[in-house]
Amino acid sequence: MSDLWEFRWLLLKGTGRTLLLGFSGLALALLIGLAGASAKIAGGPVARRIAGGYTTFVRSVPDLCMMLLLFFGGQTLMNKFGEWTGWWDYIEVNAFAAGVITIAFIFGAYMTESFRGAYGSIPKGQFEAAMAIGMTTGQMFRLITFPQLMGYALPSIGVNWMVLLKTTALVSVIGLHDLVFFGVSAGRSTRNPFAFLLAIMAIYLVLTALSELALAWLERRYTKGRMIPP
Amino acid sequence: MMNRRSLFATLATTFVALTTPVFAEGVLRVAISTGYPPFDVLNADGTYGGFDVEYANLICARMNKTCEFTDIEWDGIIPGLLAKKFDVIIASMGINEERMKQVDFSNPYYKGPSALIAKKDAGFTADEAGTAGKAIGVQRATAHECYIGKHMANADMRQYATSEEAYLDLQAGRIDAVLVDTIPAEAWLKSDPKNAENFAPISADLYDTECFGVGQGIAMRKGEDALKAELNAAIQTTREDGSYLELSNRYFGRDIYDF
Repeated sequence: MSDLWEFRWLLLKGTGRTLLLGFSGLALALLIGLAGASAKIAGGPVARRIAGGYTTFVRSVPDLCMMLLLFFGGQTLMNKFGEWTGWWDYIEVNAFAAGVITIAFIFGAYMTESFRGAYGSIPKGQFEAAMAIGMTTGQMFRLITFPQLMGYALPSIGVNWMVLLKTTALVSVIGLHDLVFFGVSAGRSTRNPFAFLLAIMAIYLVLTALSELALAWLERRYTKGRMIPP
Repeated sequence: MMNRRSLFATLATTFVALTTPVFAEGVLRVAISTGYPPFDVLNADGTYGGFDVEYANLICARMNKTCEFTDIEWDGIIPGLLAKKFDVIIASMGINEERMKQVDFSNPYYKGPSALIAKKDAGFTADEAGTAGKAIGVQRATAHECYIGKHMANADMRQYATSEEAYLDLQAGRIDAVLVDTIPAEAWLKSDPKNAENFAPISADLYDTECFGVGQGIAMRKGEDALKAELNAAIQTTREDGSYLELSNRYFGRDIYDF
């Protein structure tokens, strides 16, 4: 217990890093998801194929494998490119940026599917009605599609978020110091691993419980106008 | 059009902000992997300690540089070096043929044999016949894998991310023995009276130059001969000015530079 107390600031710092990574990854993943879903629903044949290829690829490659590939492979590729063009000798790919991008790249695919599924749940008649009163595509998206889309997509986004938060633990492999990295390293350094593993678990439990509360609130908000409650 | 241009400008700025120029003068970027007491340790205030870290600071000082440490998982340490994330690895990395295909090493800065640690009443010997069918834990991607393949071919080798996890399974009884470096193993045995009571090395110290190489060295990318010469000179200086001996005595009560 005394070891845990000694390392409390480091664990707190790691928790902050985990949350920052999670939220940044989530924001970017949502953007990618919206773009991917738009491509799948309203895109031309090329855009549709690219989005389809992307989701299939991401969902079939293990996260850890992708992380190592993007971080070390991406860095090596950039070094080679710099050498080849003579533009730079070495540019550091920031570990945090690489972590966020990888997480967003992975979860963007899942979010794409969440949004696409949600879009299919909106009754078609509403689009016909919108068109009939002369709404533009942009207006239709802003006023009709998006508010309802969130309501239908939220349960699935919530699941993705929980998984995403835990996937952040993988970033320790690429040198990012999140909660799991600090906890595991402190556990090994003090030869008291179980205390730290239990602490990590407890912290994640708190984060997940808070997430659930927030999601429930969001869901109530976004489904306010729906005739049949979810 | 304006929008697109400003979007591009934003992206370009972000890219520059996310990538930082390196190669600052007078800085040696050193990779360590904490969680390997007493060599690489994470302190409660987030700083690093241990023999490797203190020795790295000695080396940097002799090169008129400051060490800038990166703490990274063992599995990512060589890929990170090759991707130029840091300049050298000072993390008790054993010099062996397998690694020399990928990286260059300085002269060894310490040497230690290996030992097979098991329950005191385990009742088997550390040779091929004795270890047949026994579950032996090693840290993966280390020289110990090589040793088991060569001398204990019929053992059931179990690989772990670090030796700390191997010790946990030894304590839990899931494996019969661990093959580890003798010096940190001594520290582990001393770290808890229960360890010393139940476990002990069941063999004399094990040596094998092909696997364990010639000791632990500082790793760098291939072809950096100027850096290598500088590092070797710095190691030599720490031997001559007594700073090595002071450090080694403080940690281990003896000189670990040679067997």
